[in-house]
Amino acid sequence: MERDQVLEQVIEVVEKTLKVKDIDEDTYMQDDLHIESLDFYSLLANLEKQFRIRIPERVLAEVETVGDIVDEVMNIQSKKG
Amino acid sequence: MLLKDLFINHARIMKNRRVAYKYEFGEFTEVYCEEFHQDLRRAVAFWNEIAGNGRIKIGIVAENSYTYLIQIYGIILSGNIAIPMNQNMSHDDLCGFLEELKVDALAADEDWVDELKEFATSKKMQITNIEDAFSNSSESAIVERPVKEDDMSLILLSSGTSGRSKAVKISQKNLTASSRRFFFENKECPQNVLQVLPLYHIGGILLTLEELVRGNSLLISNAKYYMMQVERFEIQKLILVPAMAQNLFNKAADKEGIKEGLRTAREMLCVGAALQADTVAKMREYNIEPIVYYGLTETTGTVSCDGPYRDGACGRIAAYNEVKIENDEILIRGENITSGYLNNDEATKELLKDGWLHTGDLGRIDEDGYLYLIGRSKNIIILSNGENVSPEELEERLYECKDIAETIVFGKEDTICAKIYCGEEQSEEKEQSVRDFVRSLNKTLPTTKKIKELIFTKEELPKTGVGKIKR
Repeated sequence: MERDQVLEQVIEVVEKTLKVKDIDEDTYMQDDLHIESLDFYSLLANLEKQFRIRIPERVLAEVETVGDIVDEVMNIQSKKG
Repeated sequence: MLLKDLFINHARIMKNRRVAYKYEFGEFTEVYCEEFHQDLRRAVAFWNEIAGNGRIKIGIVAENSYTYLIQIYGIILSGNIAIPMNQNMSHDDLCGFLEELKVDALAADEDWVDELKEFATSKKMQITNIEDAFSNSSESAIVERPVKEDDMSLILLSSGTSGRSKAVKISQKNLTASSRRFFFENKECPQNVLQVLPLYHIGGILLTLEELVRGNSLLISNAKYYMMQVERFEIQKLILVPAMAQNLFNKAADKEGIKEGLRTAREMLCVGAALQADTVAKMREYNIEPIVYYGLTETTGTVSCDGPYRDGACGRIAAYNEVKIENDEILIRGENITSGYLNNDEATKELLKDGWLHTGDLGRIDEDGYLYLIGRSKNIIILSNGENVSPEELEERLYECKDIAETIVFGKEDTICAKIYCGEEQSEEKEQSVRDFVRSLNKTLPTTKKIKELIFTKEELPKTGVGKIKR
């Protein structure tokens, strides 16, 4: 899947899960969306369902922006082949 | 009693009944007793083969799942020693513990298998993807090697009462002390139980076992899935930390699916932190009976949990252990008490004195045998998500920053804060250097242990008579 397609789907899942609008690749999860850790977990579950991949909980420590989530999804997808 | 006795009875009594659920990408699959025990026997066979003639220590680093449940009990039933570990630990911390505990083999989630391959090879430690650990194995009888009640079967890292985590030794006798009192009480009318506590935590391990022994059907959940599962799954009982319970009620306010899900629930067992009055009030609104629990890793979980809910109490003290209050401190003895910490006689002596376990918690017991927690004599920060954070451990990390002269870590409004003194020559540059250091440090810490607030002070921190920083 191309990066643009992944980005589009990630944005859709983030908007639906967190009930937010007008986000893009550079939106910060903490500073802009003020996401709480328990909501972040729900977001991971929805992303897993969307992409049918398992995203480890510990990516929470590394993810800062929506773009970082896209990178993580693509990284896991590439390992899955 | 041995764990195998509980499971042999489970296979006999629960025959043809549903005992668990699997969950993947939004889909639930029922697991019946025969399949469950076949999976257990496969796990036993797999670990027996790896162990050969010896008795080995097997680490588990994975997120909660049905597979994890099978592996942890499969390892113990095979007569080996299970060491479940927090999968959100940093790479360095995890490798440090694997080395210190001399772990012989490891079952891990795929991401950890990739990350630890090199380390495992260098330490001659066998590493297996947890999902593969029994899929290709043939079945074997449960327990091929002789196991005694007092044999160490499980090692858990306890956040301890102070400093770095300690390895708590747990025997077969410790593990079965609480569960056997529930012998299949619900087998005619099993409840669906959503269990969210991590399986590297004594609460997760013990309460999972208790629910199986009750004859209930278990869905092993985790922080990622519980919200979605409450919406989609008819649940009668939830086992979780108070912050998750509160989060569910908050979300139910504008999400009909969660509201509907909560309406089927009858009981909510909250573990790991104090239950707030507003959460109890919400449970009452939904006709959910609150259950509160008190237990430590060192007591193999449950010390008190019984009886109808009573405000401020942690349930009635369970009959298999004895509790007394001495100088306000809660002391415990019974079959559930650990024999001590692995390779740490000094800490064991501090913990166990004259046959009693000294909890470091302050409490009282009322005339009906209910236990009340009134404070803690040691320094652990307990967040509402149940995470126990040792301030000393974080302070040790902070002192690695050359611009921190003194620091004290504490909990504030459910987050971790650090007060920092940069020395006599306080400057904007030094403060910025500390901020940058903490930002990098936070990247290596699990989400719940991140230092969210820094408070800089121009004065030295207050000290005790012996020069220790006052808490």
